[in-house]
Parts: sequence; structure tokens; C-alpha cells
Amino acid sequence: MTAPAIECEGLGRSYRQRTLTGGGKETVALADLSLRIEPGTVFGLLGPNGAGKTTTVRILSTLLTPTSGAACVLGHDVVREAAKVRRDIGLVLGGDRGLYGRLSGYDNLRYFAALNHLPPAMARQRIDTVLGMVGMADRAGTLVEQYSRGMKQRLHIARGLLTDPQVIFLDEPTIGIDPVGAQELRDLVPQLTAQGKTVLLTTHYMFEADQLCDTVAIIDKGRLVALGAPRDIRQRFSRVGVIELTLSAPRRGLADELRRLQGVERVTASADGPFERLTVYTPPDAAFAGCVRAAAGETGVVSVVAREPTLEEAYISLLR
Amino acid sequence: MTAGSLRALLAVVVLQGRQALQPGELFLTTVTNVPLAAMAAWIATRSADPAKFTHVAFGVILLAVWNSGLFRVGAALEAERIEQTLDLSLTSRTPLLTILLGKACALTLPAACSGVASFLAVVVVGQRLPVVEHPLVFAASFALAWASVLITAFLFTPLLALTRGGAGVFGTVAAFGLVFNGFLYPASALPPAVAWVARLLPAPWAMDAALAAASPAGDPALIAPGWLAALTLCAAYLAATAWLFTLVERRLRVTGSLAAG
Amino acid sequence: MLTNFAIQASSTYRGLFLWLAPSAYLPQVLLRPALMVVLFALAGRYAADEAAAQHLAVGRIAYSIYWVHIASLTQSFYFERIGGTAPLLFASSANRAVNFLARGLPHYANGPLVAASALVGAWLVTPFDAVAVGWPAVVVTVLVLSAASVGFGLCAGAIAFAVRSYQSAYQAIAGLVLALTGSVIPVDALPGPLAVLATALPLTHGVGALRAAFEGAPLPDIAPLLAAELAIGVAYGLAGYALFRWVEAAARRSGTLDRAAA
Repeated sequence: MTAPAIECEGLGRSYRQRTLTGGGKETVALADLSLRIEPGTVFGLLGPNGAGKTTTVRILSTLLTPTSGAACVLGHDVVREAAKVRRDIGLVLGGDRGLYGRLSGYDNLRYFAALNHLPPAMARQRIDTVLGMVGMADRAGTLVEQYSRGMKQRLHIARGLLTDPQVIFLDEPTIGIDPVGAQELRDLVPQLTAQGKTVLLTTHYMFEADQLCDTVAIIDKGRLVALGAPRDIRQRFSRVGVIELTLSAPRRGLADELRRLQGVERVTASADGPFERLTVYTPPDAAFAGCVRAAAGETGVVSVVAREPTLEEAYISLLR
Repeated sequence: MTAGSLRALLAVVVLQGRQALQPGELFLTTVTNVPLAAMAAWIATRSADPAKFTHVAFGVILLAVWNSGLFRVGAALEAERIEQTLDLSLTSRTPLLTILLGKACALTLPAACSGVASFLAVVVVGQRLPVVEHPLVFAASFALAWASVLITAFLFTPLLALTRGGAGVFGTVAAFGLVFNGFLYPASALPPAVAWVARLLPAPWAMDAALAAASPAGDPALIAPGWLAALTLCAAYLAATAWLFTLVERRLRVTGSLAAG
Repeated sequence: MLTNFAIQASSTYRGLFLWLAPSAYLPQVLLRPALMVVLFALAGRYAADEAAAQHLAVGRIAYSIYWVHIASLTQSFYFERIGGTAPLLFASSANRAVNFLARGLPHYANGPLVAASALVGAWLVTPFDAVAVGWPAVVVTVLVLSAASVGFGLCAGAIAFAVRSYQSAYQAIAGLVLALTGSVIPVDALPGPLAVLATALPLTHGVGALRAAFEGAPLPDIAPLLAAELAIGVAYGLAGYALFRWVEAAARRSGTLDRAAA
């Protein structure tokens, strides 16, 4: 068995805030998180805002010390051997900030290369390589303050790859990026794992996690709720069953009628070309297809299909 | 300091300097202290003693470096946090102290422009040039005074970040520095009850040495003690700053922010 | 209308005055003026004598009142512009004159406070003969200077609003007032054209009144100077209001209201 790239054992992080009366209020950001991430894989960390995703990334990247438990990155403890961890990680935080706006993209990379002690010749070579990887070679001479949001994000990623790290933390890398740009950034991830690198990705986009991740962990209120491959999450952890009813024409009142069926959790309606699609969410493993077909009748029904929930539907069912 | 850290320090100075030397801001910084320097020059011309004019002429350069540099240098760490580059600096291979020291050096470049402009204002208002009797010793002492001002300002980089001192605190610290650093008068001109405060700062000692070298009537016996005291205090301030930076990094990693508690 | 005025005054004061927090107010408004008086007094004593120290100290006391209003009002107007609330103001039916005036009046009280602080600083370094000072005249002068400087501060604020830069406006205006109004260099020592300019600047008459009051002049003797000071302050306030309205009209034409600092 190969050594894991990242390993957490009972990792916890709480914050203590002093109140006006002199007492203390403890907030638990992360509780008892245990993970094992294999080298050369993409690990997705999902969860709502405030779940503890960024806290986890900050602990693993040595920016924050845990209040309980332990974590190792490439065999080095993140607290006691922080300097060794930092040599082999790349951190991509994204956003509009985190870059020097009055310097060009190239100068930003040159600066961070120097901070990371890359010799000048190697720095030049790495800068050219990473700019090529993110498709920014022709805009590297422009001042960052003139970059679009997507260009800044590419530069963030380029900076994160500058030292050719073995482990890369991508914190919501495609947030706020247009669909084409976002897909181009996603296409980078398999290239990284093909080089044997390990990627820990946090994201709100379920389809992104579904597309990219070998393993996904869902955390909520600082606790691990589900862990497994995206398919496993959909099949084993999901707390919802899904039935899709396709009608040849919209039918008023049918959605309300379906909602009144005992056991149905919710019904959503959407247009699918000329058709109307009603998606019925039920408890898992429940046989509702017959009830739905009976309620819909025979006229105007194109299909009634029980399907596997998407990762997003599974995620929502876990967190509700 | 390793070769890598030295390269990093140089990169910080060069690249942060380019960030700081933007034309519009540079012009503003350059002229900021000119009115105060002109007023100081007029006050100095009330005296018939050329040594006092020399004191003010060179003192306003340091005054400008202090006034314009303190806020920039002191806020450098907070600026890193706001710009969200602090995390990247922390996870790099270069110690935070080295990065911020380079940034402090870079940020005093615009302040130096202000110093030159202030000196010229004194010459114009005073309608004379300052007299320097022993130029080499004076230049070395003045350079030490300059370094003293920078090192004193640098102490506030981690200190104000730890205490979350805002713009108001900077303004008061700057004013304290103007009063006690010996820019417009020697420490001996302070009321006896508070003169000891100035003796805890390196710049007044270095200025004493510089003026002893500048004035024909200057006491050469002040030069060596001035140097010794200034260098000792500078070393102490740097050591304190280094220790404060370890507190900064510890607080950031333990609490997740620069806020106390 | 009075309630509306009070709400606007209170809101803009609390929302746009950066130094209102105790951590900034105490050092900037109460400590710094005292320290600057100490600096000038000591410089005067070192260069010349005690009389020079007192002359500069009084000048600095008067200047401090203008300094705090220039700083606070340029801040307030500038942060309105870059904070993104200016478009909301200009899209409203709010009376612009009321809004303009409401921004300045709450700052009035800072003038006497700063003067008191500066006076303490002066006293520590160069004690005055308390018996010889015309205290009623000093108090009235401080109150008039505070009123006039609010008017001037509103003009400075309008300039900061127009140029979208707090530092540029504050530094330039504060420097001009320091150099050319007699707080340090007597007006009659300035070159001819500058001496003429000084008579049209704020503080020039007020600092003369304050120096006379410290030397024991009774109130009637300095009343003409105070009247001139107040009139100049009001004139600058009106000019500032005109500039404020012009910025609104110009921004509508050119679409620059949302543009960040120049």
C-alpha cells in the first residue's frame, strides 16, 4: 500500500471568542475529520458555506494549527514540520485579490518564484511552463489590474504550480468564471494528476466534483457526512429517490397532486423542449413509480423513469 | 541568510518598489512634507547659529522619511492581509520577517523622494545651503540616522498588526516620533522631564553624531558615543521586531487571524 | 425637516468619519494636536527664544482647528464617493443643501476639543501668563474659528469629492493653510502676492484674533477679525456647495459617478 499524500486523523479546529461578560464562546469549525488521500488522485471537499472546507485547506497548507487531531502531507506533520510541508505544496486561493495589481502577470510570478527560492534560470523556465499550461503566455506582460476575473484565476493557478508541487490545494478555482473559461481550467486537473500530483479541490459545483474527483467528502457543520467516489455518494449515501415524469404538454395541477402523495418530499417542474418534466423526490428504495404513473394517468405521458440521483441531488438530500 | 532568502529579499525590494513608485502617488508623497519643511526652515532662520539651520536642513529629510514612511511601513503587514497575499507569503520558503523587511525598504523609496523635496524647500526658504565641516563622517552618521528611522518604523509593522492599531494610532505615533526623534532640534532641547524618552530612540543619537561632524563648533566627543548608542539601539529594535514577527506568525497559525484573543 | 436634518447629520457623521472609533479619536483628535503644538513650540525655542515658542504655539492651536475639519470632512466626502453611496444620494429627492450642511455640522464640536488639547500641549511646553490672557476672547475666538473652519472644511470635502482622492485634497489644502495664513510665517513676511492671497484664505484673520486674545485684547477689539474670519468661512462653504452641485451635474453627463479613485 502506497503512503498517502494527505492523511488526517481526528482533525479538529475550534475558535474561542471572548464575550463582553468575560466568558468565552466556542465555535467548532471542524470536528473529528479523518481522511486518507492517495497520491495522484483528485479529492473533492464539498459542503455548504461555513462547513469547514476552507478550514481544512488552511490546516493542511500549514496556515492554521488544528486544536485536536493530526494531519500529515507527504509524510510531514503540518504542525511540527510546516517548513517541509510548504516546500511541496501549491496553494490556489483564487479571487480578485492575492495578486499585485500594479505588476504584470510575469512579474507577479517572478516575485513568488523568488519567495520560494527558485534559482533565476529555473524560475524563468517554470514561469514559461506554467503560463503555457494556463494559456496566459500572451498576456503575461499586461498589468494584473487590467486582467479579467478569469485571467486572474488562471494566474492564481499558474502561481500555485510554479514550484512544481506534489500536492495542490484548489479552493473553489472556477467560482465566478464564465463557463468556457471554467471548463478550460477544469481540463487542467487531469493533466496534473497524470503527472502524479495530488489535487484537493473544494467546490460548490456538484457537476465539477462529479466530473473531476476520484473521491468526494461531504462535510457539514465541521463533520464528515459522506465519503466515497461520486458514484458511491449517489448510490449509497443518498437519502433520496428520484422519479422523472415527462409529459407531452404542461398539465396544470398535476405537480400539486403529486406533492400530496404520501411520502413525496418535493416536486420540481422544468421545461424540456416542448415537454414538461416533473421531477419527484421520494425516500430512497421506495417504489413510487406506480403511484406517479397512476396520478399522471395514461394521456400525455411520454415516460415515467426512476433514475439514480445526481451528485447534487444526493448532496442536497444529505444536508437537508 | 541563505542565497535563496537574499534573492527573495532583493525581489521583494525591486518588485514592491515598483508597486510603490506609481507616478501619481509618488508626486503626492514627494510634496506632502514640503509645507512642514518650509515652516521648519523659516523657524530655523530665526537663529543666527548656522549649526541650527544645518540641523533643520538635514533633519527635515529624516522627518519626511519618518512621516511618509511610517504609515506605509507600519501598515505593510495589514496591507498583505487585506490584499490576501499574506497566506502566500506565509506558505513560501522565505520568512515573513525577510519579506516585510524588503517591503519596508521598498516603501521608503517614495519617502526618500519626499526627503529630497523637503531639503530643497528648506534651502529655498532659508536661502542658504547647510554647512558641513566633516562631510565623510557626517554622511556616515546621517546614513546611520536614516537607518535608525527605518528600523524604528519597522518595529511598528508587527506591533501595530498585533495590536490592530489603525490610522489613528499611526497618526499619533508619527507625531510622537516628530517630537522625540530629534529632527528639528536635538534631544537636549526637550524638557528635562521627557528628554529621556528621546534617548531610547536610535535616531537622536545618530543625529547628535551627524551634527557634531557637521558643525565647526561641534563636539567630536559626541560622535563615537552617538554611533555606539545608535547601533546598540538599532540592534535591540531589530531583535524586538524579529521576536514580534514570531508572535505574528504564531497568532496567525493558532487563531487564524491577527486579532487578539 | 429638523428630524430629517438630524438623521442625515448623525448618519453621515457615524458612517463616513473614519476617526470616530475611540481607537482613532483619542490619538488623532486629542493627542496629535497637542504633540504638534509641542513640536512647533520646541522648534521655536531652540531656534530663537520663549517668545517665538509662544508665538508658534498659538498659531498651531488655531491651525489645529482647521486641520481637524479639513481632515475629517475630506474623509467624509471621499468615502461617500468611493463607498458607492453617492449614486444613491443623487438618485434621491433629498434636498442637496440640507444634505451638504448636515455633513459638516456634527463635526463642529471637534474644533473646540482639538483647541483644548492643543492648549494643554502648549501649556506643558511654554506656560502662558494666565492672568494676562483674555480668556473670554480666547473662548469666543475658538468658537468662531470652529464655525468658520467647518465652512472651509465643507469646501475641502467638496474638492475631495470632485477629485476622488482624500490624500491629495487633504495634503494640498492643509499644506496651503499651514504655509500661507500666518500660523507660522507672519503674513507680512510673505512675498507680496502671497500676502494678498493670505487675506482671502481662512485662518489668517482668526489666528491674528487668537494671538491678540492671548495677549489680553478684549473681545470688541478683535471682533472685526472674527467677523472677517466667519465671513470667509461661510464664503468657502457656499463655494463648496456650488462645487458639490457641479460635481453631481458633471457626473450625470459623463457617467463618472461610480468611477473609483483617480
